[in-house]
Amino acid sequence: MHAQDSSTGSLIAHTESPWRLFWQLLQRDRLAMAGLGILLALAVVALLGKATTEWLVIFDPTTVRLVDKFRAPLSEASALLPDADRPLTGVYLLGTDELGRDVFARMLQGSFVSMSIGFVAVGISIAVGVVLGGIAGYYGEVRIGPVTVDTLIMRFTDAMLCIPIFFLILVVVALLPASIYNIMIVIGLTRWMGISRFVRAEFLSLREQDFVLAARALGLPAYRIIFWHMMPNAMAPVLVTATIGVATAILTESALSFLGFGVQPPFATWGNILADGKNFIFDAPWLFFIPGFAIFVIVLAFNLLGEGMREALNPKLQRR
Amino acid sequence: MSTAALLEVRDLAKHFALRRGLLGRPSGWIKAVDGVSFHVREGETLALVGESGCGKTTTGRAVLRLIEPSSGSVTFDGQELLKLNAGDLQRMRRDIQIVFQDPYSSLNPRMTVGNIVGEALRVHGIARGAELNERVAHILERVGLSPDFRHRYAHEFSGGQRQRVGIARALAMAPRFIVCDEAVSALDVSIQAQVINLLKDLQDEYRLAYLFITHDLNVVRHIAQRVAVMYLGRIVETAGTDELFDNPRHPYTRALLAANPLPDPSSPRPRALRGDVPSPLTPPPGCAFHPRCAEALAHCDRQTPTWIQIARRHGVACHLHQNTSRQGDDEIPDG
Ligand SMILES: Nc1ncnc2c1ncn2[C@@H]1O[C@H](COP(=O)(O)OP(=O)(O)OP(=O)(O)O)[C@@H](O)[C@H]1O
Ligand code: SF4
Ligand SMILES: [Mg+2]
Repeated sequence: MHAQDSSTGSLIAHTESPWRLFWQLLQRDRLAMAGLGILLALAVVALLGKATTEWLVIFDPTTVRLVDKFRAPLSEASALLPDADRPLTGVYLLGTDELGRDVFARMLQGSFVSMSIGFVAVGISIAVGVVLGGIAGYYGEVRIGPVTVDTLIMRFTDAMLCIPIFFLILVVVALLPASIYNIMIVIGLTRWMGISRFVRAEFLSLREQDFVLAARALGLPAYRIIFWHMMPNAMAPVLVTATIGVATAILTESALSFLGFGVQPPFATWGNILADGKNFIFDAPWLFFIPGFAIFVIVLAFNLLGEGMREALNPKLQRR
Repeated sequence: MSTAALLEVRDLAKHFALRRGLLGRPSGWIKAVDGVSFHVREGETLALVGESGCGKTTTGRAVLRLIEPSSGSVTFDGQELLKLNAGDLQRMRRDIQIVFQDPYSSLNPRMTVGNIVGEALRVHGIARGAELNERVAHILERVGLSPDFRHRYAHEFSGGQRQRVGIARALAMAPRFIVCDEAVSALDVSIQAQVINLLKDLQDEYRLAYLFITHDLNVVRHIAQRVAVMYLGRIVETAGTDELFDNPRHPYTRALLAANPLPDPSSPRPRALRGDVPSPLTPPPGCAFHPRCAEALAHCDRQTPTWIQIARRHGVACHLHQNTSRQGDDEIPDG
């Protein structure tokens, strides 16, 4: 802003929009961009995996080949196998497991399942967290009996935070069938607390912001103020939390599988491949290290991206 | 002019609860606004002045019910605003708008200028499609912005331009009354003058009434017909603008005027006001100004001064003027 600029004059130095600025800062962060690249590649792999193991079975994750148990990666399939059971090029890219199943095919199938568990679980926790945090932040002052809505919701959130989540999940999974959907829902319903706190805090400060007051002064209905004016300005930290949350959800599923409470066959997940593999860690180490490495990479990638986003959204950095 | 007041505020109070405990019991009250009365006539500007923290913003927002007042009455065009239900209030809001101080935080960063200005028209079903576009373009032109700006985001503009967008948003609903809360305080001096001229032009054209909140007395001279001086949640003096500047009666008003000479960079600012504003949490007893008052009388720290109408359009709350009173014929500060 220059003093001599008439306030009606032409556009002053064209400053960037918040999202473009965010993207530019993120692009400067090599590690975050590496994380993003890995995730995009893994997303493609997951989609291809779904397609080539279930719809058009090019890689068959379920065929049991007792003659080809514990084949190391890159070893050739036995000549005794019937043609129908042979892997695509006659080579087990990532070896076979204790039943002679193709680990490459199982990893492909698992990539989709693991990622969808991560995304669906985080989707559920975003939905719950945003709704509860939003209500607490916007309608917080409304009273139900002696307590405010805000107190009610936030004490419940605190209570949930006090429960050791992993044991809660174990209890629930022990009681319910460990289907992939139950796992998604359980992980999602136990990981919303951080998000609801973020959203509440953002809403409390947004409520007092002039542009929200202006919207109220214009007589706009509450839903419009909440969803058009406040929510888009509150979503940035939620996205950061969610990004890291996907990694946490994938890890949680792996840990559950490791303890035998995870997603059950026929679904392969990276977690249950790893869990099976741990029994043969000396005879067939690839059964353990391949899914382990895959989980490590995806969790690292989500965390790098999440941290990069957090940095890029930091207003102190943005102002540079 | 003796038309009935468009906006009539009586004994307005807003007490903020300080830190609620577990059972919601406040540990104290911040009396940000503590019994304020004034009125604004159609087409008139009343300036509300006072130091930082004296409750100007709270008053402005309580009038619009952006903050729920604790008590008092606000009548607009004969209707009691504080008793309206949500639906009626929303309808009433079209007549009463607000322009904010900060041209940056007052515009949604994720909306285009066209949406900011036209949103209410569309949501309330007043205009849509081509008609909406036309009206938005017209309003933008009226506040001195190019209609082409409506596809751009607010962050692309300078402070003065943004403030014009804020004014356009307020104008869109064709209001009759606008609260301008430090509407030019964040702008450079040269741009301040342009925006003030715009506000005056709009006032003439649409017979707008303004409650013009500011701490800058130089601005007051240019825009207001009447002034209300506020100290620690109460109005201590009201008068016509010229009368107030020529013949200030309350020691606080005099101190404010002394501390605020006509803009002249060469002269150092005299510090006529001693000490800081006391906390509205624990306002001094008697006259809240007495710890800082150079002319305080013996009983000023015990007795709260009542409102005294010393001339037809000049009122003051101060013990010094108890005797000059036309014997408090009217409790409402009248100007
Ligand atoms: N939401 C709130 N909760 C508690 N106290 C508040 C709240 N809003 C304002 N106050 C207090 O009320 C008093 C009056 O504040 P207000 O913003 O109305 O003053 P102001 O005259 O507009 O000051 P300024 O010139 O700084 O804008 C201040 O002491 C402030 O701290
Ligand atoms: S009432 Fe007393 S203390 Fe208050 S302004 Fe008047 S003279 Fe000063
Ligand atoms: Mg203020």
